[in-house]
Amino acid sequence: MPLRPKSAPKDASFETETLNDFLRAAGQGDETAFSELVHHVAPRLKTWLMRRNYSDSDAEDIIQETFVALWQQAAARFDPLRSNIYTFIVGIARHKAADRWRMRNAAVNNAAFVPLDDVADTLQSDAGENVDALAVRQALKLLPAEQYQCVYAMFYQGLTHEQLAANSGIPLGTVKSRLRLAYSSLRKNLG
Amino acid sequence: MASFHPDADLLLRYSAGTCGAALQLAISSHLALCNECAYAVQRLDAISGMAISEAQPTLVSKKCLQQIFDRCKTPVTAQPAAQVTDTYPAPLSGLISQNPLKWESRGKDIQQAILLKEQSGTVAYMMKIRKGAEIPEHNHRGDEFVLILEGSMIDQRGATLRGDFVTTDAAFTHKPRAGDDADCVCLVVATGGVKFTKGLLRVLNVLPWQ
Repeated sequence: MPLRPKSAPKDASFETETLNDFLRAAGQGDETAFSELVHHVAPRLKTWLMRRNYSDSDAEDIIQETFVALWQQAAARFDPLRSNIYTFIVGIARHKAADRWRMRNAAVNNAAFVPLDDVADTLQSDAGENVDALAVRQALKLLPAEQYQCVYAMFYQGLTHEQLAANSGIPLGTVKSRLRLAYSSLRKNLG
Repeated sequence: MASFHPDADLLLRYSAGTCGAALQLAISSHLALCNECAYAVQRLDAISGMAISEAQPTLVSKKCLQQIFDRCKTPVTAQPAAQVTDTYPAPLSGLISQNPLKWESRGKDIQQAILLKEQSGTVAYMMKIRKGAEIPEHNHRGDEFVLILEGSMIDQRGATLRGDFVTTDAAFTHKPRAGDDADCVCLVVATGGVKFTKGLLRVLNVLPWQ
């Protein structure tokens, strides 16, 4: 059973705000701010990717493509009122990971590798205000323990439903119904 | 405004990065056409973002970091912009404009073109159905997800239009028909082939890529 969501470390919001500032500065060409950002975020992104079964070298390739896209195009479009550094990076990394997958499988698919758009669709939409870390923690805390367990396994550990069912002994149908309930609760509480 | 959407399970898997490449393509294409789901995913991405922020760091090689900084110092060469068509949303348009679809006929009314195939056997392909044509009655060997991009498709659940994302499970038997106004173009993700349930068509019971 995973731990319940942690309380915010004292400097967490400051840290995210600082990183948001770095990203905004990077969008204006500040190399030092960009370097700080890469050194802080890349190792965490690598963990997230490797939990989704990307190899060490694939994870580093995805990281490289994510940060290059961030520097060359995306940072200038970053709006801290709409997103935060991590939410922003998730959208880019997800597309870069898909590109990486297609490149790996290009031979299988008998199709030339073509990268997709650098910036996630969700970032370009008029998707409303940023959800802050406190709101996310609150929304997670409101989930019953058995629903939180499923959300944690999926988002933090990168497990598929099948893996979660096999690891925990919870029937697959139960995993799915718990996630459906969790989704309703999260949508209600994340706005 | 889409009337059919990916369910909670699919949006959670998409945001968490565990849904696989074929569904990733279909869902991201739907998000480009559906503000409601794009909004929902942005909310969920706040959880994914937090999972990254709280992850224990894994050492990133000096070589990787150096390559990032070297590439960022190189002036950006202008890439030819992907040709965005009215039919294909952003996640598909780049892929299709630079890598034209190889349409293959499946009978007189249907054309298909593969986009990608996962090791699991799940495939993503484009399908074009002549206006007014009907696909003979069938069910499926697995789940099927269809994103309508042009025209419309009609079965007992009603009419589906551009942007609609329709999920069909294996047990569901239907006889979908393209609307009369225009050919129906859609993106299909199938975890198994279709299974025609009547007469001679049963010989066609395997997708060409499976």
